[in-house]
Amino acid sequence: MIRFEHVTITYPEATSPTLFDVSFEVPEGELCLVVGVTGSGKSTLLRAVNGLVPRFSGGVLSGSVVIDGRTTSDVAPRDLADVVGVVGQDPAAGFVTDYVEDELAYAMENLGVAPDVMRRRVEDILDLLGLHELRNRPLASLSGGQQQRVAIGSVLTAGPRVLVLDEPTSALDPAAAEEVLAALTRLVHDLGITVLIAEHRLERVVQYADRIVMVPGDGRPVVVGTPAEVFGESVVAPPVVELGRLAGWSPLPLSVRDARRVAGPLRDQLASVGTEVFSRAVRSLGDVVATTDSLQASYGPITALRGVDLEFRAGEVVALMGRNGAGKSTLLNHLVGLREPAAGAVQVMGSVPHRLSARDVVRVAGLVPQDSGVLLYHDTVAAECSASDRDAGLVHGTTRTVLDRIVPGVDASMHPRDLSEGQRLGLALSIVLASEPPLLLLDEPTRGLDYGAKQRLVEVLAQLAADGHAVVIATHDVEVVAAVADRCIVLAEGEVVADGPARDVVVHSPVFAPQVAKVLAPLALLTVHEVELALAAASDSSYS
Amino acid sequence: MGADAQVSMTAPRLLHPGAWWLWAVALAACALRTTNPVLLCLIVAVAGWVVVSRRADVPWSRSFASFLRLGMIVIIVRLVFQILFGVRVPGTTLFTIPEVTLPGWAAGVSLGGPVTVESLMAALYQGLRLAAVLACFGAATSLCSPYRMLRALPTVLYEAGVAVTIAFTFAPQAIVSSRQVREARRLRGRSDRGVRAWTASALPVLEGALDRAVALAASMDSRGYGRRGSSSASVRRRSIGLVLLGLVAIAVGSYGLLDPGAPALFRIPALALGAVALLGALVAGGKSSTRTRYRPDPWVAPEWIVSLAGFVAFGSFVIVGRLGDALSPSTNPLEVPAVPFVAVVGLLVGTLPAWFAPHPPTLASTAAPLVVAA
Amino acid sequence: MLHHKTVVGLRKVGLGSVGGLGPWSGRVSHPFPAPTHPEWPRTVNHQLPSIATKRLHQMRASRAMAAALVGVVALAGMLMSSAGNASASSCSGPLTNGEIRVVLVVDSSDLGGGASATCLVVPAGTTGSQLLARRGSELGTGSPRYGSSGLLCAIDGRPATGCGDKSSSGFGYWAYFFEAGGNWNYGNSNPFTKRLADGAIEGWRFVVGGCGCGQDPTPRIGPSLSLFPALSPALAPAPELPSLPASGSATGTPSGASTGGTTASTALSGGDVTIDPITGATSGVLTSATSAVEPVVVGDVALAASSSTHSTAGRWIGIAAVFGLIAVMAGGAWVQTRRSR
Repeated sequence: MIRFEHVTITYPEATSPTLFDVSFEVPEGELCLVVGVTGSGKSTLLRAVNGLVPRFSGGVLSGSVVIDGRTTSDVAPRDLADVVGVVGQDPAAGFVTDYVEDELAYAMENLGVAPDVMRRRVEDILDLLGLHELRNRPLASLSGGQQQRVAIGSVLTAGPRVLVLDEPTSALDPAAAEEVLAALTRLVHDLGITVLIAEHRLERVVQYADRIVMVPGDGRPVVVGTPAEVFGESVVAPPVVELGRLAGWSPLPLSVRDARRVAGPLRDQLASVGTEVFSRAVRSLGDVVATTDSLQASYGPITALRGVDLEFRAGEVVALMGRNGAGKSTLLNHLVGLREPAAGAVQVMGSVPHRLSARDVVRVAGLVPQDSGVLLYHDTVAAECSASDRDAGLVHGTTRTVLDRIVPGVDASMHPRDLSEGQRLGLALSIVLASEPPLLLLDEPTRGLDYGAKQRLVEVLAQLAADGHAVVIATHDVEVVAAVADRCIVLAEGEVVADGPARDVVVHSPVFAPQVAKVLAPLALLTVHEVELALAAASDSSYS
Repeated sequence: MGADAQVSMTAPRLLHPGAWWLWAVALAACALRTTNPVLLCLIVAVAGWVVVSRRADVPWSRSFASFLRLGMIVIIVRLVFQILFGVRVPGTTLFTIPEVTLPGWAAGVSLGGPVTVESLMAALYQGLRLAAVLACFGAATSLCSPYRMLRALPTVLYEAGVAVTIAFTFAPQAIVSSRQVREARRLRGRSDRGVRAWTASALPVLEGALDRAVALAASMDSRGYGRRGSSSASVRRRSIGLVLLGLVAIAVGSYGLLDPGAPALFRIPALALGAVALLGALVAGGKSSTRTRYRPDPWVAPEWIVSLAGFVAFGSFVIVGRLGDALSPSTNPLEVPAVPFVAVVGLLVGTLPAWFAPHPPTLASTAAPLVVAA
Repeated sequence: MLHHKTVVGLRKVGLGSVGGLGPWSGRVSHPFPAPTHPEWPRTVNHQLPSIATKRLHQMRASRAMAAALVGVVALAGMLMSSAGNASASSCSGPLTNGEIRVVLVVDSSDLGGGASATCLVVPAGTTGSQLLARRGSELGTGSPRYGSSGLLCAIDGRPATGCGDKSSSGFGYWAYFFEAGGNWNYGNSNPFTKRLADGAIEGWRFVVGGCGCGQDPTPRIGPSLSLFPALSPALAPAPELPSLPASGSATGTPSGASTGGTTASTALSGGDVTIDPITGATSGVLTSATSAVEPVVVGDVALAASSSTHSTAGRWIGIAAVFGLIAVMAGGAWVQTRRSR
């Protein structure tokens, strides 16, 4: 169905090709997962499927991409619309209308589907993706996860035989991600659609994949094979695979279910160790940095926050979790003064953030927004750093020092756009951190990060908390929460429904529990690293 | 499909984009015909009133304020230029700035010199006129999303694909993008007010808007926008030719209408030729197009009222223009601008959409599932 | 057609006038009509037959439109307030320090006015537009009217409406000329910035169906130095020069020449001045205003002035009403916005 033959793609002004001599084939009716570290060219590969690369991106493609017997160099993307549906990384950027129903019908209108057929298909897709309650809503009023589902629905209505999705679950909460993936598997199994997915959160997708295409990104050839084959040696692997490697299970388990079947002996071994070993050393908490007092917020008639009372202390890492649209980003925006409370109060370091001038607010609270790239608008890393020093009135070189601590060795002359996802996040983070705000807020910091980059971020955040910052991360990524958070707050419909030590909140939730916790339940172990520590402790105790 | 034609006057729905654009263009044409500051302010007020009354809950609907702000900048820039480089119109001198004597070859240009009330008022009137036109454009983008306009375009224009998309969505995208850049600036600790903030964020805003427009074009293309259908190349070429001819003829015709000195041939005949060519292109393109509509926008009573309200306003300006000089009050000697009654009434008719256009669906009304009469 | 205001035309004119270098570049010399006068009056008035006017119209009907060029040429000014209250020395009397003598020719024959030449004593550094305003106040014909772009619309209240309007035959506008080498030169400078020198001769002619270029017709009075009156006897440099009718302009004696429909010829010999009767193809009539100022269109100007003053109160009421309306709308809009939030 999809065939890449010796495809090499070089972007204009790039010194080396983004993809080099890629050849693989995806047969009809398979769900194929594209994995690789950030910046390895996964998105490029996906966008080449229907010819958006190089037609809309510029650059040179040699070799050929054949879809359903048609070569993309001969056919424009629009004429492949009935064969290939593409959902990009940012669903909102691809919306072509203002309302959900119109968006779903758009591709069919272009294909000339008869009106009654359109009606029927729209209803089908609304049901399939659970969108019927949103059918008349403006797209802009939807949360990220809802937008993602509409975006998928809008290409599905055209009845494509190939579906290409770039990180379809990265913006989704775990439950919504499950839903979307379940819908995709149904499409593959029932309708024989071929699906090509790029995803960083392998823990979510691996179990559904029939085939993995690994793009190493460093010039080595792509690896194609079944999940078990590929993850045997892959540098990127979900926690369950890591756990399997640690425990020496063979074949490697790909799902929690597989792992639980073989995990009995490991559980027993770990249960013999006291639980206190598993818990992270509790950091000493400092003063209260920020408070919200019955904070309320609304967007037009929709209430985003209803009476939130919270307190953030220096030295803690707080994870803010909850469904898409639960009010996480709204809360962060209030803490940094981007929005004015509809009722209630916000205080950060004794002042009201939205009344502070821009220069003063960065000294008390810093926010790294979801798309950290929006903070960067200079030509070079060096220019970004010096501008940041100037803006905040800091000694020249402060930002660069912070950057070197977070991500060492970033070339100062590079354009921020050419940095890897992790480096870019690091740069944005260091700009925010340069004026040393006691309160540091991060909105979905792990979106688009591979496991390695995530691990480095976790280390940085832990260090910042140790230095006395209060760190708040709004995230769907339970693995990151498991790795770094001391405290976890769950928001639902604008209210706080859970607030407590991360371990307690996470382990007992079927949705928010990380893979390791699920495998080892009822043991309260969250990460592979903790298992490692516990095993070491267990062997120590057996020797003594 | 038949049921769609029976649209209730009061049920929340989106008005046909064409109706909003006709109304807004008519108001803008009024603004272009006058330098009377009273009427120009009234035009802005009328546009703003209708926008506030009938905008939907979509991102662009807040763009009117941005267009007003842009209008203010235009006025200020116009005044500054008048002070620095403007023609030294005589009159009551307010203050004098040092005059630079220019070499002979630049004898026509003046730099510095006495600044008079008369010259400033003239500049203000002109700036105000541009601001009013901008406000009308802002009203159109606030009331009707560029997306809907794109969809309403004839199929033949699809060939221009990306260009058309960017042309139609760039301004609204820039507004969305400017909001983002402003927030980002605040997060970086930069002031989000003042001239420096404006100039420094101009480039990222434009860059962001262009990126978005291109991403949109890519998305539209990959979802079949501009598919060729079954028509042969020659049919397509013919319809594109007709479209180009029609657009050029209409452009010439509109210019001719605005310019009384233009030969008669360049007025109504040119407009008629353009209309015929476009109709021909529509027919030719329509035959070959495979496009269908999910829920076609109806053109019923409210659409007529909105577009006719615009035409009445324009008509009143034409009449006032014929009757005397009230549309262009003299600034030298400075006189109190007259307020032509007919034009005021015409503009008040222009506010009718605030009552007769249907309400757009609101979040409150759509949060509960609607029963759709299909 | 002249009365109808053109927004587009105005704008073009305005743009041209701000940026324009080009508009002053058309520079064409014209045959040199040399009207003179027996008694060296301060104002000479020509009345043009209407047949000739018509022919001129037709002649210019075919000229191409060069919209942007027009306005700039016709830019004109009023006397600045500073210059306005300078004490007016007599043109034939002694000049105090810092004063200059200049002659301003205004030809509104095509609008039913006449052509006149006025000698004025003004402060050195006076601009072309200031001179025009000064003339208006001296003659009592009112200030020139300008468009919002700075384009000169009317002198002596002519034309009553419109400003540089374009008709199918071309532009109807006040063209600006200056004397150089005994010829009229199409305005190669900006009247707002052009500083006049002693002995300068400036000309304005209302052109009907013009092209806005150097081909447009010149004022019907030629830029002769004889337009300057003789100095009073006491100041006369040489006692042998004739007294009043005699002129200090014995230099540069122009010979009679003829243009278009009017001819005025002059023969200067020694100190004696004689006027030949009008000759020429058409039976033009030279009406000479012998001595003092002769306002050309006083009636019109007065009318315009009174009409603009008596309605001012009514206008203010209208403006107040409209702004009240705007305030109501703004208030309503504000309330609506608050409610929807």
